[in-house]
Formats: sequence, structure tokens, C-alpha cells
Amino acid sequence: MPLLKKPFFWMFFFFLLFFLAMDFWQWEQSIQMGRGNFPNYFYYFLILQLCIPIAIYGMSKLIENPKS
Amino acid sequence: MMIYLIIGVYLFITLLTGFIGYNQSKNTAEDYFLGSRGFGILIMFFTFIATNFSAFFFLGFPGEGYRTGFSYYPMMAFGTALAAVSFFVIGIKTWKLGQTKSYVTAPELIGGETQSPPLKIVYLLVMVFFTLPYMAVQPIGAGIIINELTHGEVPYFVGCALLMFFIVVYVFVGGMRSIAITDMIQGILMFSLMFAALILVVQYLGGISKANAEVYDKFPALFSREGANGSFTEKKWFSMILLWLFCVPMFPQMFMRFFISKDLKTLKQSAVLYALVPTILFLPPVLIGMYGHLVYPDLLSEAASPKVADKILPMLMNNPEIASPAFAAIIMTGALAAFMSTLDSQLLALSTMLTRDVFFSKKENETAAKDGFKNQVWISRLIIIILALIALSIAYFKPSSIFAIVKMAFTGLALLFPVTFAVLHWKRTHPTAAIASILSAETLYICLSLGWLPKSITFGFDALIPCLLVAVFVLVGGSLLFPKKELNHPILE
Repeated sequence: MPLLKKPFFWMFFFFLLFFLAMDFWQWEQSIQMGRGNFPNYFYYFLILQLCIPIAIYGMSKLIENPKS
Repeated sequence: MMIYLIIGVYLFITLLTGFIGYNQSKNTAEDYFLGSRGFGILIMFFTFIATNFSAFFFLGFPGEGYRTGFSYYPMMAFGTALAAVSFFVIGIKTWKLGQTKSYVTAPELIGGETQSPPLKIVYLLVMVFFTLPYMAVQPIGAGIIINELTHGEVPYFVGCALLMFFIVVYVFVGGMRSIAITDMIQGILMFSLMFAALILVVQYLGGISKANAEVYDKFPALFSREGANGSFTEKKWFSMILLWLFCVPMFPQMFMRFFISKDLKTLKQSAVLYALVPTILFLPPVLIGMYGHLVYPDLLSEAASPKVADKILPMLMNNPEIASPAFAAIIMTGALAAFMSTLDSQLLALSTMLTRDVFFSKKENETAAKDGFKNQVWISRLIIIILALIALSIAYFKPSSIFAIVKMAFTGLALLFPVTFAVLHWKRTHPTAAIASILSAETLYICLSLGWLPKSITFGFDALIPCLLVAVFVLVGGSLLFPKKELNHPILE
């Protein structure tokens, strides 16, 4: 996908992750416990955190072959 | 007796790996400072994490888990993982410039690219001002750990001096090679021992799900987003997550690691792995801290000092129902590993900066990188001994002003990020504007930290945010106002 090869896409993606980490709408809600009796926001952040290395990997491929 | 044996074996292994590094060295300045810029992915990965995760990871994280609760985990893990993005933004160009222009330290690169010795000096002074006290307090932690491990039989200062002696020996002989190889051993120890500690505590409490349920039942505030002690506000959360992005690459010992990768692919792979680690590694200490409430619920009572919570991991390990004394001692060597792997890198980074950026000119540095200029290595070794003696004297006297500076070190170093980024990416950056940016932001930060300016001007954010805005505004505004002076990096064009 040509969009994935644009540095601005990755910049936008990291900004998006950062703003998703500002999940203040969840702060007001009561804590729900999920699997393993971990709070639900644990799983939310787990997904966000795992997106970071995946995105860095994607970005590293882009920078490796900037013209491909 | 068993405890002494375990500490002895650990120190012997560390020293041995340090000497293995020395045996592989090539006896040139570049090899001593940067391991000839030839490290592969395995060592790069471990040296990044072992250098960055200090004894705070082993003792401070469980302490914060105890005080703040679960919310501390996503704040630290997400923020630290995000810092890997700055390995790309800063690291890749730094690596390229290091390869082509033989830079070894951050001030050398900043001064070289802007061709501004005053900027190099200002940048160096800020790095030394915030890193030296941070390094100097590390032996204090080591002395306390050894003293507790031996139940007071080894006096605090003897513990400080003993560990400092071992570190100085292997840094002195092998430089970066010894440090990188010991980092690998220490990184593996930190990883595995923290997980072993969690398994022991969880076994004792009847499983992870049961422990979580019991904590939630008895101390529900520990799962709240604001933290049990209300330490997070929305503005603080925003500030703290940003802090790691800007400060991690600005630690001199971390910045030097951008130069040591054998190729660009290795550096990129290290960034990917580094981003993955906090998600896995930061969970056990925070959980251990929280679970500590089920065994020792009164550490935050009015009678106890707030710092007592930082001892929750040693307290749990010293509980005979949780771990045997020998196993407890093995696990606490993980704290020694975390402490040593940070201190050795700080020692080398500071001595390298003081050697190359103070004692030698740019031209002499360029020669040194190519021809095994041994004077630099010997001066650096001498500085390592002097720095170690300074750190030990600070550990002995424990001046309160040192702890005040250490508290400020993270933000103080993060304020160098805008200038570093601009020098690497914006050709219009003007050295005078860069100096003004650093001085104005650092001055504002010191005034805010010392209470010379009212906290209200931060609008509830951490002081980092207004200071960062000032740094960017002065840098951009000044660079646009001053006559155009293009930077010196043809490699990047």
C-alpha cells in the first residue's frame, strides 16, 4: 500500500497511539475486571503497547527501502 | 555463608565477562569507547535495556506498585515503549554521522554539526550536571542492598566501595566491550530473576487471578486510574508519558549506544525489541508491589516513612514462607545487576565526554578514532577512577542537594531533545538559538523546581511541558531571526 510508505503516515500513527493512551474517558467509569482478574484497561494498553513495536518494524522497513 | 557465596559468584562472573570483553579489544580509542562500532543484535538489545533499567526497576517499581497501584504499569510501559520511536528519530542519523565523521559523544556531534564550540560546551555542561549526581547516587543503592542482603554484617559503605571497585576494574580494562558483554549477563539476570520473584509471590498467594481478586476486594483503590495515592491527574499522565520519549535518548550512556551498532539494520531491530520489552518486563515488579499489600498492609501508615515501600521486594523475598534465604539472595543479586549495568555505562559515558570534549580538540579526536591514540584511553581511565572516588565520597556523606539534582535529572536531560532533533533534522538550526533554547529552558526548569517561580504557571502539567515549549519556541524563533547558517551534514542530504 503506497500510504504505508509515507513517513507522514507513521508520524500520524504514533500520534494516534499517543492520544489513544490519553484514555481519559475511561477514567470516570468504574473499573471492570477482565480475564485473570486484571482490569480491562490492562488489555487496552496491552494492545496499544504491542502496536508500538509492530509500527516501528513497519517503519523500519519503509526507511530501509524508501523507494520501493 | 550462602549469601556471601552467592554475591561472590555473581561478582566473579561479572568480572570474568568483563575480562572476556577486554580480551577481544583492539587497543584503540574507538574500540575502548565504542567497541569499534561493531556490536550485533544480541548485545545491542541487552545493552540498551540493561543500561536504561537501573536499580529503580528492581526496587522503585515494586515500591510504586505498592504506593500507586496498577495504573503505574501502563504509564511506565507505554511511555518507555514509545521512547523506542526516538531511537529512530535520533538514533539513525546519529549512527550515520558517527560512521562518517567518527563522532563518539553527543556534545561532539552537536558541536561538530553546528561548528559551534560554545554550543558543544553548553550541551556538555548540561549533560554532566544532570548525569554526574545521578551516577553518584548509584553506589548508595548498592551499599544498602549489600547491607540488607547480609543482614547488616557488611557495613553500608564497605558494600558501596566493594561494588564500585569491581565496576571500575572491568570498565578500566575493557571499556565499552566489557560493559556490553556484562550488560548481556546482567540483562538476562534482571529478566529472569524478576520473573522468578513474581512466580514465588504468586505461588504463595494461590495464583495470579486469586491474588488480583483479593487485592481488588481489599484495596480497590490500587486499580484506580488516578492511583491509590491520587498521584496521576490527566495532565500529569500526559506529561509523564511524554517525558520518556524525550529523556531516554538524551541520557549520555544511551546516546552513545546509537554509535555502537554494527549496521543500521541492527539498530532498527534493537528499537523494535526495546519497544517490546517494557510490556513484558514492567508487569512483574508492579504486581509484586501490589501483592505486597496482602502480606505487609501497613507500610504506608503514618508511622512508616514513605520510602519503606521501596523495600517491599526484599521484604517479600526475606519472608521465609515465600522464599528460602538462599533463593532470596539469588533474586536480590538481580538488583545488584540492575544497579551495576547502569553505573558502569554512566561511568564510561561521562569519562568519554570529559576526555574527548574537554581535553582534546576536534582534530585530535578525529586522529584518535583512526590510529589507536592511546593518550585518550589513559586519560579516560584516569577520569573513571576520579569519578568513582567522587561517587564514593558522595555515597559516604550523602549530601541532600545531590538528591535534589537527581530528582531533576530526567526532565533536565529531556530539555536537550529539541536542540538535538533540530541539529539532526533542520538545516536552518542556528547555534546561537540552540544555546539560548537550552539555557532558557533549563533556567526555567531550575526556577520551577526550586520554587523560585510559582507552580501555577505550569497549569497543572509537569514542569517538563512549559519548559519544552519554551525550548522549542526559542530555538525555532531564534533560528528564523538569526542570519541563515546551514548545518554541516552532507551525509544526510
